[in-house]
Amino acid sequence: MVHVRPVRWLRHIWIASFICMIAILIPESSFAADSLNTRIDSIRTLADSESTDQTERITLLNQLARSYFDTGDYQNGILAMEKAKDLSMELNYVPGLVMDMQTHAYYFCRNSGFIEYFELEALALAATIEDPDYSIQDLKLPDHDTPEFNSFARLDSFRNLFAERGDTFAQAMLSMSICRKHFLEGNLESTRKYLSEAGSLFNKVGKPELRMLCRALILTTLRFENDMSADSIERVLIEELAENPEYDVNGLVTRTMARACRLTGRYEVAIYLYQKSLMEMKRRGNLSLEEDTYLRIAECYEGLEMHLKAADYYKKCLELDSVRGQFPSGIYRRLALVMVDAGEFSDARKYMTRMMQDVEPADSLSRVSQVNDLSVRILMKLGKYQEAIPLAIEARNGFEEIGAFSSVAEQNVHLAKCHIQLDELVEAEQAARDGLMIVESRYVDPEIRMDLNLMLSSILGKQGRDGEAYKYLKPYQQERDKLWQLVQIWRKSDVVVREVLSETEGMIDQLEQEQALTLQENKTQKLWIFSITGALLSTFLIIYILYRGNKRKQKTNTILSNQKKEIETTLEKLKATQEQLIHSEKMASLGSLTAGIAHEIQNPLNFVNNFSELNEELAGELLNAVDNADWEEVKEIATGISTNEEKIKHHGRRAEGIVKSMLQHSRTNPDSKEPTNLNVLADEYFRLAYHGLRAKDKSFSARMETDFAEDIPEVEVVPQSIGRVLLNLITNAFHAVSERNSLGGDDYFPTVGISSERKSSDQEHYVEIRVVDNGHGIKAEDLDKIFQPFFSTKPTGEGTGLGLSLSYDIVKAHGGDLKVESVEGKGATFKLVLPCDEKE
Amino acid sequence: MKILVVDDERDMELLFRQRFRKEIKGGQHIFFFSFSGEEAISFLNEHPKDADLILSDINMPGMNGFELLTEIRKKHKNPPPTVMMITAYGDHENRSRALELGANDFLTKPVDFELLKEKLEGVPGQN
Repeated sequence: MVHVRPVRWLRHIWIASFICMIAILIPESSFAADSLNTRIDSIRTLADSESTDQTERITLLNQLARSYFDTGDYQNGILAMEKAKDLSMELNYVPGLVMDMQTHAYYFCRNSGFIEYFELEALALAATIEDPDYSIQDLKLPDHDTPEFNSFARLDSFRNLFAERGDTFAQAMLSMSICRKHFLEGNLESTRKYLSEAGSLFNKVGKPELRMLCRALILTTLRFENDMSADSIERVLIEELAENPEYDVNGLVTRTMARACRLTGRYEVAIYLYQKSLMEMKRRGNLSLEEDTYLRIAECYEGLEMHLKAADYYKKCLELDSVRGQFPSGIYRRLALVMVDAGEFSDARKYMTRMMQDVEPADSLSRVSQVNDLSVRILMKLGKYQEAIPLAIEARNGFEEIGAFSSVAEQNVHLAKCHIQLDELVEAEQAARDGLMIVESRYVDPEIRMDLNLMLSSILGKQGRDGEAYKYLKPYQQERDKLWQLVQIWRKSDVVVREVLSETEGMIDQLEQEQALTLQENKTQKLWIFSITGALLSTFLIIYILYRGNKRKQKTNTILSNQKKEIETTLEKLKATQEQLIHSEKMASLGSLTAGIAHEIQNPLNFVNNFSELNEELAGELLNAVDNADWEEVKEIATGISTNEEKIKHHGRRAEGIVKSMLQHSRTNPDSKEPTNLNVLADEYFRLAYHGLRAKDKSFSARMETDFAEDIPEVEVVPQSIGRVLLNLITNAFHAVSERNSLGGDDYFPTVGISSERKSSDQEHYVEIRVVDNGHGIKAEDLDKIFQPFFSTKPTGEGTGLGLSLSYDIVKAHGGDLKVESVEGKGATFKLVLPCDEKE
Repeated sequence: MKILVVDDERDMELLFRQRFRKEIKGGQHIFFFSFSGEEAISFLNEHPKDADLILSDINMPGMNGFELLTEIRKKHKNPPPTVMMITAYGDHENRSRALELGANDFLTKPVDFELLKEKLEGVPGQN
């Protein structure tokens, strides 16, 4: 039920793929390859030299391996790596093993999660080194994603090579490399194929945690494709992680899942998962990962347009940076941007000042340009377009010099917007066109491209150059459609907007055709078309602006109301299920009662029949006695008849009472409390339970012992509820002794007792009913659980597991308590304690 | 004949006394009543000669009819009294169990007194 704000999350995806594309696009010069080969030669010579120290040889071999990888020579690379590792193990040279881990991290597993896994393994290993002079060397990410080094054929052949050699781990690593290549090429299905292959290989070499990571990455790719099966995979992963928390090394699996959520706009879930992964990271004291997680959480809040909340997390990053002794200029920039978005300009300016305090000459131009960009944003928000223009130009030039082309294009967007506001259409057009030039030759955030196309179209429309205006409207539409196509998780609000847009689109297509005919024919009509087009274009803009503006509110509202709805539905379902369960438990206990009730009714009915037959007979004898004038006899018989008549009435009422209590038991309407004689109630249900059981199992018999204290006052209870509790306790007791009896034993006599006692403590008075059995007792470990719903020791299907739980609830609702004592093998005692008002 | 009736339903006494009003008056039968298995045992211990026939219910709280029967067969062998079991469950299991434990006959509730009177004819010890 999480709704996505398409543009925002697409932006993340596009930025991510943009970075990947850059990595692919940067050409590795032949010069670089040559110098690498020279380097390999010299390192190899040194490593082979006999005069080289062993530990130094390990370092050299590791470097050699990395250089081989840089040239794409996996075979020699892995051989060198293995040699280095063997030597490290032999000499127990930990820094060598650290290097090995780092190589794993940077050369094979540059997928999210994996790189961190090996990085952290390396860090953990490095931490065990006691040498005060040792410090772990940071390894920069090499650029070896060039097509010639990483062809599928090459990777495949190495993978097969390792498969043949039986080196499963290396094989898994190469599967990861292949999957990464597929991912970069946008082939998610193949990515998944190799991920799952790598996963099972990792599992084979005893790295189930890496298999979990593979699965989390599979989940990520499925999320990118809006594949619904991701839902179930996500659930399974969460469940498995709950069972095996040790697989979530450093919280990396959770983190990977969080990333999948973040990149697909499920920010709330992402935040939750990031928070979860944080716990593990904090435990391990991994500050850089912790900081990165705060950064991601902040990004999520930005996605939710909760700027100040995002700012809070950026501030956490600042704190950690100061601990880590790093200057967080990037964080200051993000904070400044967030504050601009939030309209907190003075805060934004504060962070801009902080940004400038870090003046590393190397990227000071980028810093200055970033500050200029921020100033432009603030000025535009304040409506100071004239002042913004020179700064935007300065920022644009700065970004251009350092090759940050997305930012260059963005400055052109700013410029065009300012000029439009100032009604300087020629300048606006120039800025938009400049921006589009960059967009066409470079890979730029598609949102900027859309902005530029739409703006240029609108500028041209304003100038009456509608034919040209359509030319730029088209790519905007296409770009937008492309974005829409990617987003399949539609929100209601999105659907509405889309409907409006598609309607206007249809009209535009029609207008376009008409226009082609009319352009040459009729200038008046052309004007008319223009005015409609203008109107449509402004509709677009308005819709777009409204759409963006309202998004936050809509999003929050939709999410909240959907979550509320979801919770309500779940609650309703739960309530319904609970009611149903309580009802079936009631019915089940009624079922066990029926036989008992039949027996209980049978007894009084027998008396009714017997006494009335007797009276019939006595009436005949009475007539005889009258005939014989035996008045003594007449008197005796008449007394008898009268006594019998009393008995008939008495047993009739007894039967009636039983039927009534049965009806009460199954009644579902709210029960009312009434003063009740618990002795009578307990005795009644004792019999009912016994006969109920007897009816089911004819061979069953048990000794029934009652010991009711006569001084028990009447207690205010709902009789049928407490009756249900008693029935439950007694039935359980009979079951227990019956089971124990089936085990045999000469001197065993199944016995169930029920007793009552009046007790007092601290001015509180209560009645305690005890149900005692000499059955098999309750296992110590089960004692805590027996009052839990659905806990049952009976085979599935035989007990609802609700009897004691409901009983417990009933007793608690009466302000009483239900306790159990048991020694395994010796039987159990249930104590039902009910408070009573003592009226002396 | 001395008859001991064992039943937790106290009205059984009234019913029997009325039903066998004439027999009691005529001295043919003497009835004793116990309302639980335990009571019956103590009666039998105190008056071992006062029960030619024992009519016992099976389902009683505390010591039930079967236990009583077992006890009687264990301790009162000289001469063994005739025992008839009475129960609402006139089913096969109870009948065979009672007979296994040494009951002489079986009656179901509601007691058919005509039938009972017929059965009494055949009980030994009746003169």
